[in-house]
Amino acid sequence: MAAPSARRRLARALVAVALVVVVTFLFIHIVPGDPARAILGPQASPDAVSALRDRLGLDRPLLAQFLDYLSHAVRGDLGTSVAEGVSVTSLMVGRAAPTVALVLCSAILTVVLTVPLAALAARRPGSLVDHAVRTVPLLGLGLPAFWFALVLIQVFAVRLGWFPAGGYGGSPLQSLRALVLPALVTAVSILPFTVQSLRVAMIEAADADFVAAARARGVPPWRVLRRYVFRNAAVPAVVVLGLNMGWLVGNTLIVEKVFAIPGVGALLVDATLSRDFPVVQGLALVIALLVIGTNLATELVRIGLDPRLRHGKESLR
Amino acid sequence: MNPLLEVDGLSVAAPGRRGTTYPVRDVSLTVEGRGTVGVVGESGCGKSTLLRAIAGVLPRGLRAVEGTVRVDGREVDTRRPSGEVAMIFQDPMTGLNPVMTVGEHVAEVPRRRDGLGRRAAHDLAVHLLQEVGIEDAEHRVDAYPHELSGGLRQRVLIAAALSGSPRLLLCDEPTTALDVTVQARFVALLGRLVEDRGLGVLYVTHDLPLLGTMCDRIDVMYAGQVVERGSTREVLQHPAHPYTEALLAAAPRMDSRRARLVSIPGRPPVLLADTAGCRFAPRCPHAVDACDAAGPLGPGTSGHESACVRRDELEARSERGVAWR
Amino acid sequence: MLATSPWKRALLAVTSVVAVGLVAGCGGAAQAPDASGGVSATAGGTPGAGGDLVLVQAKGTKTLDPVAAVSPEDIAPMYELYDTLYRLSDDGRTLDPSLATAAPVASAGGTVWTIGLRTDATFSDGTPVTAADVAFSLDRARTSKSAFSFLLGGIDSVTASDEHTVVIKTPEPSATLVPALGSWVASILPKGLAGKTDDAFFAAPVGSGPFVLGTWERGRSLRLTKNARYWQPGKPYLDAIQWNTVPDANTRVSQVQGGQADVASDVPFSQVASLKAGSAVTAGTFPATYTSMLIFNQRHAPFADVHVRRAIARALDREAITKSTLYGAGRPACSLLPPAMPFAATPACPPFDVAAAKAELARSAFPQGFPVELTIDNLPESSTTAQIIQAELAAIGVTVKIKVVDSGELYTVYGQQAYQMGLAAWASDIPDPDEQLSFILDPEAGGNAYYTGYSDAKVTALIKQARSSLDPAARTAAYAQVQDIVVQDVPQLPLSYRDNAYVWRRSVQQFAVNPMGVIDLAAVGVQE
Repeated sequence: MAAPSARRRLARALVAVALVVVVTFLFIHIVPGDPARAILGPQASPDAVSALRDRLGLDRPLLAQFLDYLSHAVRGDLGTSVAEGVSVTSLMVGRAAPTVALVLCSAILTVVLTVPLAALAARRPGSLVDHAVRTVPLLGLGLPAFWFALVLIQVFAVRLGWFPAGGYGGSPLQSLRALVLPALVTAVSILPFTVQSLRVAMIEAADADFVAAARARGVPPWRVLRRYVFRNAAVPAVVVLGLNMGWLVGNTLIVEKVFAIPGVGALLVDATLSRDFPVVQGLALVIALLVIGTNLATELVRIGLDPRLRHGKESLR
Repeated sequence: MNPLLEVDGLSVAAPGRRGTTYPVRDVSLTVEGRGTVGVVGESGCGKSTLLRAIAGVLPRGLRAVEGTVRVDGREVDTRRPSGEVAMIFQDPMTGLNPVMTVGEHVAEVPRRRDGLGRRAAHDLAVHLLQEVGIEDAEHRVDAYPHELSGGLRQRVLIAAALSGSPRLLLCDEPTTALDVTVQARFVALLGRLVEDRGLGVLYVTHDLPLLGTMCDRIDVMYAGQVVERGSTREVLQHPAHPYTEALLAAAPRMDSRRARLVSIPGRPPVLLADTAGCRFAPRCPHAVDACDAAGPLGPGTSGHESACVRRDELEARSERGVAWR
Repeated sequence: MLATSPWKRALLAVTSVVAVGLVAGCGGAAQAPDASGGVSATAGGTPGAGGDLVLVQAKGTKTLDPVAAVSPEDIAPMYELYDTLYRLSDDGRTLDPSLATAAPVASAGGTVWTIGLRTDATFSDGTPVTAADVAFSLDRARTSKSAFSFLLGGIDSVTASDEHTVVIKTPEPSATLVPALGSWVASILPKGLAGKTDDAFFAAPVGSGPFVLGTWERGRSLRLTKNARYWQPGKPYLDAIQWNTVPDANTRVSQVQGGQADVASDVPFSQVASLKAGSAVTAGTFPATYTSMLIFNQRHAPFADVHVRRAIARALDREAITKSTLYGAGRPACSLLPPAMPFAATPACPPFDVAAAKAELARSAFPQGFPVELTIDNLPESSTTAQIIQAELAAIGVTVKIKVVDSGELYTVYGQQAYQMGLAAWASDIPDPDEQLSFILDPEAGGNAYYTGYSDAKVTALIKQARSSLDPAARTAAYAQVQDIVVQDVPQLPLSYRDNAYVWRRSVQQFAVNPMGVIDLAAVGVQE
């Protein structure tokens, strides 16, 4: 990675983070709905509401509030949850683990499902199997994630009892078991994209001269598949998976709700509804950092997979 | 003794929406043993498909439907590689896996197929790279394809092809993408390998004069069929088919950098099922009514074969020789 | 518990949509009700001791401080961790002594109240519950400036006259004192929070309720375990209760069906009938005080005209609205007071009649009708209701434009009276009509007559009179009069009374939910 491009990219990431901070702050303060009223409920007395507004500093000028927020944020203090009375950081730390676990499980499951499906489809493009593999996951796009989740719960949790009907916690093994169905829902929702991109990439790679050359000179078939076809197809597929990570994280909002996973998504929904603005701000910041981090990680994986990006004339785009 | 390669009546079919086409139609061809046989023809004449069929790496959708391929007298399955032949391709960049080092390419078959140890395979790779004339092979072994020049890549491809100790090497226009001086060195290398290793080479190109510098025999392909065959000297000096003649006339000279055939009027036909008669007739300046009933290859006066009904006339006309090189 | 309504409604709305999807897509999921599927709220006989009860609810508990509690998820654990002087009776309409030994003795014309305390009650750390603790707790609550401190607003002073006697002074005779003392806001805590800060104390709270804090994972679960020192012999039956947060209503139902949980709250109404007949689970609805209503901003010209309001009341088919939103888990409303509330009367509500509505409108300043904006929140249930209203009012020439605002914003809009006509709801926190009627009818009680600007001197006087009367007959008469007047004046138009829907496993014994939405978990057991 050339140094100027790395620096440029870091600068761009910082600008993105700064934008997210400003926009979220403005958004949550401009959007109608008084946090004090939202927290105390409709029949709280005007006295109680104004007392809370005062305590939250909501009547001060917006700029003063923003500068105050900023000066605390750079020191790692994201404020105190208005609704729960505990620090935003501690609230998020407790909620981050299930979300991270869910996203990881989903990503792993996506890869585990994508690779054989794409390989199956790419074996004979245009065949019945290929068409089946390409169209069946598309049905997954048509049906809403929560509906699919509910069907899975009915079948695998209520009828068969193999997995819990949502929830999270207990031993790591129990938690992992609880993540199977939600991860499946998430994986299925992006499967059409990943299968399709890996399939195309595999067909392209399989048609490459170097594959024919390798086969002709006697490289064993499984090795051709692994080192020549997959390894080359993985580069564009990883990019697609990386680009979809933002979507995957977004999807966990729904999945977390249906499967009662006490993650960041559930917290964000709660906090937005109750106008718990320090929490919303903190979460937006963390999610922005996560997405930017994911993109960076995708780039690193790409570079790891493709030696052409490591050095030489080809520059990173 | 059996010939090294014997192709007999091979047809390759490509099923398509508008009916099945035949990129290769009833081709017979022989490489006796050590030495180079050239196959020449325009793009799309089926020469690459022929090579891939022999190597057992036909592209998706193509299938050998008739005929046999024998290597050393044993029939091989055209649906999968026999491992007895190696192949190198036109574009040296696409012939190498971009995510593998030079050494991995060259050491792969000895290590994975032939069970050599890591060290031995590595040493063999370095040795092979030296054999194909790569200087500084100990360092180049760790380079990735994109770090090498086109000529070096082509040499790496040869080294990789040789790593399985094949007796037959199939070359699909390996020098087209190289400049002329690199091309000359490559041809010299190939000649040395033929001598040193006793290799048989089937060399496909559209560059007929090039074949003159390296081949013992030449087969001229047009529209999926061999239309003329003979010793290099005979074919070049006494072309017995108007197509060969046209190829010679259109051939680039040493002073020309443009290696494209542009001067034969018309296009090669769509290779549908048995078209009766000579397939070149529509483009042929010498076409006569009899062309519609032209048969397969037949012997001409100077002892080499041609499919042209007027082959004797042509040969006689070309007695004066052709100014090639 | 009005504060809870947006949350509850959010869930209901979301879940009803989900339920439709589930039933439509997974035909086998719903079971047909059968004859044996009748619900008995007290099934199971006298509970045996032991066992854990897992309840699943839409939201997590956010605080263990009774003064800060606002949502039903906050409030439910309060009744288990802490004790109060009085406790709701089983029917939820009256109060029984709990930490108090008997009903208060009123003197000085009903302004001085003497309450004797049990001598056998201790906090979970072993220290006895004394009058000083009661005085501290009530003072803390009523001066806290929190959402529900107004419930204890009518108290002048609380003093401990001896270790087990408390004297409460009120400025005037107070009929609402005892109901208010039975609410979670009046939970009894150790004096001075046992010397701890608020944060430290409520991280490991000490109370005298039937359960003590086990573990609390914010947003995930709250587990309480049996308080071995609880004063009521034999109770609680359960070893532990645990609330898990399960935001999706269908998942809550699934967890009960799958045995992962024992009780689920906020079950989609459309599923109650089919769930009732399950072999391992059953479902039911419990009358509550939740009343949905249309509110009219009387600062907006047409609604200052009583004939307009009356015309709208007659033009709306409340039966149809109730059916299409509640699936039988509720009744069309007439009086502002729901039937589950003491003193609820049955005033003569003019029936649905479009011709009569038109005639009424003809007497107003807007005889040909007028355009109006109806503000609702972004929940499907509200949208269904609004669409029916829109269609029905069109018949009398009132063209309704529906304006949707975020549920977190709705009451800000109402509070600023920046609306014309709106959908709102009320639920009471104490079994006394005063909380509701003061708030939604008395212009000086803080809510500006529920943001309508309605003001009627007679109604206000009657409410005040009923509040300061200790004679039940006089209160009945006053409240009946109020209910009659508002049926004529229509400051708000009650649309329907909504029940609370639950699904629970048949192994749960003595399961019941009172009209305040509280389950007496000390009385519940599970069959092993």
